[in-house]
Amino acid sequence: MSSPPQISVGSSSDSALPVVSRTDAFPVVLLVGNPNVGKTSLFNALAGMRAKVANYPGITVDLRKASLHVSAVDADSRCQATQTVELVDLPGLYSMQTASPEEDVAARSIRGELTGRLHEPPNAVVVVVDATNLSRTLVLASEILELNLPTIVAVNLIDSAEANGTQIDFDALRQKLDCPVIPVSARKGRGLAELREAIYELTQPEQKPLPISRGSCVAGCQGCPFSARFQWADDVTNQSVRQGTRGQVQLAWLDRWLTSPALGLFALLAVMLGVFFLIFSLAGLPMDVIESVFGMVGEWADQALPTDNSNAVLYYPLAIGGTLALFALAYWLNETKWNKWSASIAVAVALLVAVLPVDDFRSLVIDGVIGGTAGVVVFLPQICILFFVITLLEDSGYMARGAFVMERVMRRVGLPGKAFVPMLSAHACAIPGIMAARTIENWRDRLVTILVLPLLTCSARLPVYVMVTALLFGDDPMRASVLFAAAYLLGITAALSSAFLLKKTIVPGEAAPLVLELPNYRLPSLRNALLTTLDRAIVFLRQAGTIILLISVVLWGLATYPKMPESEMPADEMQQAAAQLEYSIAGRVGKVIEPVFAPLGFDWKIDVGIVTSFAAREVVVSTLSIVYGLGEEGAEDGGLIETLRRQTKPDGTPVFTTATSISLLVFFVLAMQCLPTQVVTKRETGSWKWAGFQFGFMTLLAYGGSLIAYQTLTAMGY
Amino acid sequence: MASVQTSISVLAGARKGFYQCVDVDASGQNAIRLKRLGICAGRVLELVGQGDPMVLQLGNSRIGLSRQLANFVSIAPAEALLPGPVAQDALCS
Repeated sequence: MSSPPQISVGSSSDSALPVVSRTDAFPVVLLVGNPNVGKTSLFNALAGMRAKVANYPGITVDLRKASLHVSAVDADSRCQATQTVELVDLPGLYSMQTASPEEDVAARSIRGELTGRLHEPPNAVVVVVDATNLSRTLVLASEILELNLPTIVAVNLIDSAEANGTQIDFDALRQKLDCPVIPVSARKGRGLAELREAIYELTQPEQKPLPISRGSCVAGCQGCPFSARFQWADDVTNQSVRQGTRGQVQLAWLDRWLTSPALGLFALLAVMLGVFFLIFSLAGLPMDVIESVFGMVGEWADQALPTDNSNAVLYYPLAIGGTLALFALAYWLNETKWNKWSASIAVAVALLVAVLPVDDFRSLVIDGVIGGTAGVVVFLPQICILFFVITLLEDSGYMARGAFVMERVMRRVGLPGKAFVPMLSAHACAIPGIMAARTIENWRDRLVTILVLPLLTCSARLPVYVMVTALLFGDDPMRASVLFAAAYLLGITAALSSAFLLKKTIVPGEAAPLVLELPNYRLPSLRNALLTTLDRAIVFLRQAGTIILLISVVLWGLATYPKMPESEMPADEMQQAAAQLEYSIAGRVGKVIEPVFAPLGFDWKIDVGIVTSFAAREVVVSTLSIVYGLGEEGAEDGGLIETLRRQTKPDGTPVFTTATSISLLVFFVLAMQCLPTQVVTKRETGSWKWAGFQFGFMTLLAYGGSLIAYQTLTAMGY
Repeated sequence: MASVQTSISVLAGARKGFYQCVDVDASGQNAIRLKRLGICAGRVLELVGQGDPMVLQLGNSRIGLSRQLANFVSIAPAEALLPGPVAQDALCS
């Protein structure tokens, strides 16, 4: 039922893909290496801001690529010959025998088994090895060298090796490996010009290299080929490296602490509390700025947009041109190509927008487009801070220790220790959590982690928690905080028990037992963390931003149409919005599904909130504010809570009893209600099937949880 | 070359110290995951932290290893086989 989605080589859908010839394109150079050798730092140092996430057909794994200018080093820059290559940063791998979907993509890229640009072996391979751990990292190099491709070995972290007194004889190493060997330091920018020159030399079309025929260290070997490779790497290292010992011993005590069961857990807890403190203390300001910028843009649009369309010469080009410009932006972000279909959709929508009544057009722009985009972009600061800190922790070597100490705890629910980091990230936002799940090698473990992550309390749930706790215990901070903590705990319990159950049923199998490299501690690079964060932010905006915009517009349509006839409109302005919402499709759906949610204690007005918060759960607060006749501004002050308390059913009893309020809280702890997360789940699992399953099981869980909560509390007289 | 007839045990129950890996009895993905990190026949490893998971030192690399996988790894005390790791000739004979 569950299989990795990444590779579809040779499938019928691939046969339709055009095979791109390399002859008229830039040479492809692959950057290959073990995890933790600073490969991505080296890519960032070479590519800088030119890097972008590439979509290669047939795979959903992100591959970062950059057009790189390489040149022969010449004293006179006017004489320099240059060449542009496409540098691709492959996922880290330990061996060409692979153990994760990402490694599989890396190995197949090297062998030229993918489609599109990677359908044939690369023009050159740069194998990155670690100068401080040459014998281990040369093992992969031995496998790559045997493929007889034009290969360069880049010995990274040369500065760290020198700092601890290690001396490397590069001439000896070149001779042993039979390929160019370049010492580099990605962090200090050392050796990059030499590496570029070596790439230039290897990718010259007129200098066809002679057929390369390197000997295999496992040729004729009957024993374990891995053992033979390690032995070969040891021999090569012994003959070319004099190991230093400075700087290694001091951190052994730290590692003993950080990997010990009790102290290690305590340290992890402290680090994670620190991360959360950073997220919640630093993200507040940029989030406020984003909200006020979008607020200002909304106000500006309110002023600038025409209030009547009598000036047809100005109005229609504005409406059509604006819509087309928005489509162009979304297509560009989403890398959708303009063809007859995508162009027809854009033109049809632009024409439809132009014929909308002018008030609706204004509302569409201000509430649908600007409001919808703001709803997504507001989470960007939290996501960026989270990725920044986690990248620093990963680069420092600490994250592997965190996964190590959590292994024992997480195994009890059938997940590996590595699932801990995504679960923690999900407490800020499920999206970076799901992206962080890529570090989990085993596909089933990764899938279950992704499926249960959105049950953990993300920051978008906070407005709902605040509303319900204020409703119940507005004047009792003690009880309010207990309820708040209980909501968090419910999310954690639900996530862990769902993982346990999924591992017993739909995605069966124990967690892949731990065997994990604990990389040497080193000073992380701020530049690398910044570039990684930028990369993730773009992926987030591109993937979630475009689709959520579409859904925001659709939801706006559902809450706006059909329009209530003027004659039926109530005179009170406050009541008009509520009456219109009741008349709209969303309102009607709320009434139709009222019997479904009645056992949970919800009336049709709450149901409208559940419908409109389908794409973003926090929307329920502003929707409740509208349906109860306060207008959107009402959600911001205490007015909503008082109004909700005053609401009564036809029989005169209050709507928001303790039972209904708790039921609503339980529903929003457990329900999916977040479209960007669904989009990212689809992206990371490769199919809408798992996103749909996630939505289904979470909604059922939420319904069941709320039902039990409401019925139990009602029976107890609350 | 010395053979491995003396005191072979399983890594899962070992105390701290130097050992030589004699055999890895895992299959499929587990075998690849162990061997590609250097836990394979003939390699010397040091058990530096007991428990589940345990911590191994292999050359300059530190590896965290669950007891479940350590059960697949047969070891002999390194002294019985030292000096030097098993030569490649012995493995490839």
